[in-house]
Amino acid sequence: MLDHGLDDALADLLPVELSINEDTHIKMQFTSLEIGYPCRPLGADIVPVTPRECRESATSYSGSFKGSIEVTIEGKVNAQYVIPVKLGDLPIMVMSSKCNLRNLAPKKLAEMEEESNEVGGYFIVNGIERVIRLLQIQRRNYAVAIERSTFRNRGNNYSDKGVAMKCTKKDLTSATITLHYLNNGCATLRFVLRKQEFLLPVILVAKSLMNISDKELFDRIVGENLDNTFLTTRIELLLRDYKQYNLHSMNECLAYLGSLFRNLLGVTSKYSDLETGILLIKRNLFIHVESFGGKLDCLIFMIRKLFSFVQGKCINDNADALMNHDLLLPGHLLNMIIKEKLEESLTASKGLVIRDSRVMKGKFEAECLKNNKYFQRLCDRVCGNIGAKIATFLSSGNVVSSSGLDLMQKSGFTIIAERLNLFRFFSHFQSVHRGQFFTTMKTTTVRKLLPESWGFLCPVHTPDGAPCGLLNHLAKDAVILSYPPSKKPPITTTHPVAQPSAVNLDLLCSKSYLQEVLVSLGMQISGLGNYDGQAIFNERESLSVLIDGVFAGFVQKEKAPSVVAQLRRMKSLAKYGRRADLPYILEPTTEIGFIPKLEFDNLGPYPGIYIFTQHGRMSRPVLNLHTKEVEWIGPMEQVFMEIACVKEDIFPSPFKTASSTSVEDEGTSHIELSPTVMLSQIASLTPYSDYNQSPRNMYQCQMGKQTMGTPTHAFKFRADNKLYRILNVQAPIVQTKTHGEYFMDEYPQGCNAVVAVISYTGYDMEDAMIINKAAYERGFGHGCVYKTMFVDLEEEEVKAANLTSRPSFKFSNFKGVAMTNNQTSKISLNSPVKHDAIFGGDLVCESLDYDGLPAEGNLVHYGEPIVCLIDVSTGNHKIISHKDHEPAYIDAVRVIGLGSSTNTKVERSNFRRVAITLRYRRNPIIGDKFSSRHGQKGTLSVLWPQENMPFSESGMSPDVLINPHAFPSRMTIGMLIESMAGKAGAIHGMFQDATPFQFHEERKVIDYVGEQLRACGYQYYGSEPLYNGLTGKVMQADIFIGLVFYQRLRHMVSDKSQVRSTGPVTAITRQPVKGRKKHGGIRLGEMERDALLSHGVAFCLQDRLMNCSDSHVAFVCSQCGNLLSIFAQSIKNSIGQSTMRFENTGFRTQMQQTCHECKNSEFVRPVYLPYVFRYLTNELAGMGIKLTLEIENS
Amino acid sequence: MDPQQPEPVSYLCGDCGAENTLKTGDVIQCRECGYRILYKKRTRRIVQYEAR
Repeated sequence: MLDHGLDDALADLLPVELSINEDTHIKMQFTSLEIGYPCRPLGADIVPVTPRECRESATSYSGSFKGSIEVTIEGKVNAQYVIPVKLGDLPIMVMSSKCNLRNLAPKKLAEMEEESNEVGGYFIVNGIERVIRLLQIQRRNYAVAIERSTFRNRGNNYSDKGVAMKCTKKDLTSATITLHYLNNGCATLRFVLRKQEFLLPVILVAKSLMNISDKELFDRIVGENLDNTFLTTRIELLLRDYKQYNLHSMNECLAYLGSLFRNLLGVTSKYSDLETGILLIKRNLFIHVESFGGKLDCLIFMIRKLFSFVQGKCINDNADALMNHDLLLPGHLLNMIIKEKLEESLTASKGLVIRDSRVMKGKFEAECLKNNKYFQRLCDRVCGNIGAKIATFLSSGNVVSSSGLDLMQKSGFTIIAERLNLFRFFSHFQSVHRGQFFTTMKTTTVRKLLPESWGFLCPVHTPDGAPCGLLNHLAKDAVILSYPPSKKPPITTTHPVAQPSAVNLDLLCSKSYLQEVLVSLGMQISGLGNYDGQAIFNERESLSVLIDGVFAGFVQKEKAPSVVAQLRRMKSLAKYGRRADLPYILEPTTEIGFIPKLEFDNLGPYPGIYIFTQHGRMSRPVLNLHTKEVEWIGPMEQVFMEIACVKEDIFPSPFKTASSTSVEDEGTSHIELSPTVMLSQIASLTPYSDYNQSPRNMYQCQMGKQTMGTPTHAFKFRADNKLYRILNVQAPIVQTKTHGEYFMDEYPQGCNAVVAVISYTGYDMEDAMIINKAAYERGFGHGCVYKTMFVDLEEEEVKAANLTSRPSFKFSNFKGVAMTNNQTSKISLNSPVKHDAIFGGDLVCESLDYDGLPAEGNLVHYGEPIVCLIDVSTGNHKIISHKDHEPAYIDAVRVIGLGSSTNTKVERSNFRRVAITLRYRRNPIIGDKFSSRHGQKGTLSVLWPQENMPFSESGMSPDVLINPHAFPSRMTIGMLIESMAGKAGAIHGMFQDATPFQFHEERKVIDYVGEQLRACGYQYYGSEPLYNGLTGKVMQADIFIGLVFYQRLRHMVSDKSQVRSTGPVTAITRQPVKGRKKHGGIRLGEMERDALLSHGVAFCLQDRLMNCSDSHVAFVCSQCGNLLSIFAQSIKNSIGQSTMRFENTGFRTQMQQTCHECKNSEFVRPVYLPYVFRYLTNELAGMGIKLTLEIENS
Repeated sequence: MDPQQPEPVSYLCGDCGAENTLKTGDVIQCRECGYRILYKKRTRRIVQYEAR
């Protein structure tokens, strides 16, 4: 994406100009930009770096970013320098066109220890894989009518109505323009410049776009609607209001604007006000159109829409509907940020030049201007950290920007691509966020599932809880158009976009071509500017046509449906190229948004034909019934199309008039390729999901992403913080078509279990499940967790540093003993060495090797050393020990050479970082969580011996027992069907297709699997008589038993168990600390206290709240009631000595608690109090409140 | 204190698998291919597993 976007951005970057002493003008401009492949030096060579290397060594996958700046000096000195600059290391997206893995065969990838089916799409920053989130933004180049109460706050008379348009350039940088309606009938135009909002009268803007008379402007806006007095009076008012500016020609207006915005634009004195005005309009107003005439057309269109909206002739566009949304893609966002950083660096260098010229005065000219080394130094200084800034953006997700980039949020753009399992990893790339801003909104309207998103966003796959409805996932077949047409690679879904060959696709999207096509279909060219003197648009009889937000012309109202149908024909048949009966074709993903004029004006949004060709849109395939070809449609066009879901939905069949080519709008025009297209990939993997209650499918989407699975095949070569791995895996017997399409068998995450639905031991109450102990011993649910710890000497040194000294560590296991060179030479590398014989030093840790690191395969328990560091300067050692209470195996020890070996500046060795992977054995234990694929989760309550399990007539005993109460209220019928289908599939030796929506009332799924079960001798409905495992008697009821695919979830008791009796306390209150990591306690809160109180277990309460918490003995003066006035005073004997000799303890000072107030120790009494009470007393005293205790003397 | 205390430990290259014997102060880099991530070899001590 960056490949062409960068060029577009470069072409759009303005040169920075400055003048010194009025006679020297300097112009600085980027002339080229180049991004290199990630690589590193190796001796004299440069070798490519692979993502795997970066992941393992916790470095960034980045390539060098270079450019050149052209400096032109005019005036006293005339010179031109082209200065090459290094812009730092830019993080490279894995599998992007600058990635070293691009276009490698799967086999080659596997050889390089990457995933063979790596799809990329993420960045690696400091070893962490991060994704830039897809963001929903306002549709680009489309004027939306909005009603927003906050508009009223803009000033006096401002109404809540407005029309906003996100104008977007070719490189997808945007600037939003908003027209506000004022209650007095006026309208103002709002735009943002450097995060500041500016309001301009619309007529002033219109007049500065063209030399146009008031009469003509009036005619253009009103058209033939002269009888619409609402409109005419307001336009008249606007024009009259404008008279106060007393500006008559276009140049006068431009100069006026220029004089106002001079300082903000930062132009030099070389620029006249007129030129400044032109610059302002070019860069900030209607930036999607080049020509001023086109800009005026766009403004007039917006004014028309605004007044028609205010008049109630059209309704507002729903800003929450997908119809009015585009997506912000990672590449586009990055491009915007980089572009701005380049601009900022030039501006910064401008400041430096001005400063230098002031400081150096006379010498400046000779030493700086005539010397390209000065500019080289200057540019290196301001540009060098652009790569680092992008890396910071990726790792933090925060955008630091001077212009705001026309975005709604500043943070939360990136997330970690967790590789918990494939579901979770994939879903990061499919997730679409509505924007950070909406998470704080109290109203739930934005979260609503709107019918407009059908086929684009999955209705099932959204989390419940805080991000519900804001974080959506793309439907399976929806694609995002991320490239400009000519650069578009074939989209590899099940329905590839067939591109016409040998046609220039950019041409197909160009405005002039589309206009030609439309004119051939009967559009009348209208508007000002280029088409001056052409027909004037009549709002009542015709519909306006806009191409990418540029006004193109209008079409007769009656003709519009047929024009649109013809356009669709050109689009869907495009792959065959031009033919005799098809003189024109359209680019297949062109979006033809057709908002028809409804019978009553006030029912629909502002009518028109809106054509979109640029990228950043969503698109999905449907079948065009007229052409019998796949057509790609966008969210705006589908709203007003008749698309049948299944064949039965087709009404007035178009097949009847198949002979006539003039297709009309009557009846269904399109049909879905399959009813499952509305689901996301994860949601479509739930078997028989059409039989489940819908929230259960949502739960499965969440739990599928929490399952221990197979996140990678390169476990050995990954250094993730935490990786889960399941060891016994199977392909599900019952699977959907999606399972095969996405090669889910490559990354399995569960196994088929024989499940009996029975209440057997009482251990299966409340969503607990019983696992057959023998099944467990055969490997059911076995898994492990890998955790990697990095030990970086740099960090350790900083941690251990104090004010005066900083240690300099090295990895070693020898106590610091000086060595002579003589001894060094004795070491033979191949023969085993008795270390202490040669070195004379002792090992610090017996279990570690000489290098202070453990060897692979060792078992470490709590507190045992893992790494030993020696401080070279003092000889002290530091041991990093195993901090988990769970024992772990050392799975891998990696020593990482950082930096280049040729770097002579660093004298120290590059042995500075180590990554140690620990493997924790996590076989199921009581309390671990499991779930089926139907939102039915449960915890393991007991491992029941197989001999006591119930068994069937054939001697089979189930792996898992679950309680029948799990079903009635949850209504997961899909799970029951899966159980039967799994059983039949296992007996017949076949996989069952569980794709939703293939069975219905006439073709019942129960009969389909029932017959299969009967064929192999089982009961039709999947139940069997079972025998009690303890008594051997047959049980009275038939038990439902079959095969269900079970997932093991990542929530395990070993990660959660928390227990303490005594332990660390907080210093202020002396109460136990919080948190499992710190060995803290669990809060016994008010409600728990109430429960204990109601049981009357006072001793227990005393124990919990006092003895196990902050109980202490306080001394209170019973006379004055003071707690704080007591202090310890040494008792003096008769001769004034405080230290006395005692017979058994020797010399000791005896202390006595004395009240300072009463000067007396007689009434001081010890009292058991919570320590926090003393703290409270102190706090109150600090506020001047005295707290006294009344103590009865006894 | 002499920082050049040599203790030979052998490592395997993460890329080509070659065995490298390094002392403290040596540059961490495979002698065969120049790769910068080296793995420690598996322990030669007896590791006792729980077989239940």
